[in-house]
Amino acid sequence: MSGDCRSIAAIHAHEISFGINSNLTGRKEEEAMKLYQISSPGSSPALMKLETEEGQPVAHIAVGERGRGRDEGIVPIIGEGPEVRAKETDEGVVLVRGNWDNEDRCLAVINAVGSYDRHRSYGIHDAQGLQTVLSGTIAFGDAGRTNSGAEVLAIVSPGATFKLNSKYASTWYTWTGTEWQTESPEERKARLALQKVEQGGGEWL
Amino acid sequence: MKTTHIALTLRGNSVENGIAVSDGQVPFSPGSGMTRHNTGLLASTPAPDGSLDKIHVAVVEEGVVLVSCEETPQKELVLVKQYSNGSGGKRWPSFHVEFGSEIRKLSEASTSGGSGGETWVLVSAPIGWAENIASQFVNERDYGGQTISYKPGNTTGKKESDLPQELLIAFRGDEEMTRKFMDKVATLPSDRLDDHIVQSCGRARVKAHLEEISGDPDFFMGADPNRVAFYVATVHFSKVSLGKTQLVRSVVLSGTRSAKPVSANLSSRTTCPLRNSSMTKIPKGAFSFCKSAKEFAAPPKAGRQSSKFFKLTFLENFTAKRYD
Repeated sequence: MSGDCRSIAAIHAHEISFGINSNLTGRKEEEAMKLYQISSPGSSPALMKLETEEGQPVAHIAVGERGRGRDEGIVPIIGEGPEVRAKETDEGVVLVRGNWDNEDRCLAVINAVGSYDRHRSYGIHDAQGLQTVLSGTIAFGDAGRTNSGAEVLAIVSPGATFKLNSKYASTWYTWTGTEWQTESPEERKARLALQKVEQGGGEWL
Repeated sequence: MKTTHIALTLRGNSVENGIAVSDGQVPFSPGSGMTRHNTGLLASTPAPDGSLDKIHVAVVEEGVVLVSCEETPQKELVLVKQYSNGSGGKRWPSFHVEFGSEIRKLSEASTSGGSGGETWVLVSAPIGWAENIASQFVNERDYGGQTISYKPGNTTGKKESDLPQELLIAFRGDEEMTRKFMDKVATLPSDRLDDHIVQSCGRARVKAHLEEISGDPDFFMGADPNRVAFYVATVHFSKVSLGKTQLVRSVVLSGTRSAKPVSANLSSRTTCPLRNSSMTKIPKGAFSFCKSAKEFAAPPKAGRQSSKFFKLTFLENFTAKRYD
């Protein structure tokens, strides 16, 4: 697998930068992105380590699973340096290490699949400001047909929000540009309702 | 135009002033059921933790916002806590409200699974609505669940009945069944009834005895023999002795449901001299037995029962009332 990654990385002479965020917003291509991981719905986003416990650089990031009813996606990490940025090549996406400047976007590996439930909808719901780079599928059961959901690598813009369902609850995630905020649907509704009323909205009984 | 609401919390037959606030929300904290799923937002408020009394109410797409004020209230904002009791409390009545056009339902939160369940509803209602609902709810063990609707003209609340309240409760408020049971009791042959068994023995013995005498295997029609035996005694025995039924009533009269004021040694077991059986402690449900227990209770019988068995506090004016 790592051999495949290196072969993909070797093509990075053809790499092109992500057009949407860099070109439209005028950001420099060299800007670095923090890489976060949301390991399951409801969990707090944590910075992903780019080194193994042995101190070796992580060679790739995998999303999804391999097997029946599943999809696995692999993103190689190439180069040297403490930060990464995403690059799209003709053959796929790579993460490039380097001493990049910080920027307010971030990368996130989002696992949207909670505990087993036959009918629960596992996915990234009501997403805004999220650009999916690579997507995989995680499923339940050997046949992978009982239920499934997505695990993705995405570029998250400031102000981006999305909702993940765990088996028994839902959690809203918001990336402010500097940090993640999580809240329950009730907390989110309460905050938005107060904001609207403070701005003069709503109907007084 | 803002209408000032007075905040009230309604649960069964209890109406409390104010609605609790915590972390900028009206919290949903049910006593029964599980809240494993998202429960729903009742209301948000900029007010600090505590209790809201007089408020203005705003409704936006995301929910309800409550803002404190100090004006004369024109309406009620009622947090209606509907419930079905869970394990350990299932013999107590459930409380639900049938919401009519007089109220405006603003928000709702509910449990999802588990034993029992609760659904809290926030409503804007006319003044007096909560008291009207509360006054109609009968919170008596074994009475049965109730779904109550607003009755504007009903100032007295509970429906008055000429039937013994205790019997009515034993039959879960079913007047027809209560009358049928009273008819059955009236036809029992007094000379064949054993007053010791009826008044002093345990549930199984009372049940077997009365079913045998009446020849009716469904004599109790689902009611608990311990709760209705007193009526048989009241009707058929000229002197109602201080048996278990009276013990139960005395406990009710002498204290509250927690039974703290009761001085009797309830856990002691005393041998029944006639049947060589034993009498055990009073069932918990007995503490809600009767409100008008004075009507049925009789003075303690001297001797064994009063000295050893019932170290109880008796109220004045115990007189037996007969329903014949």
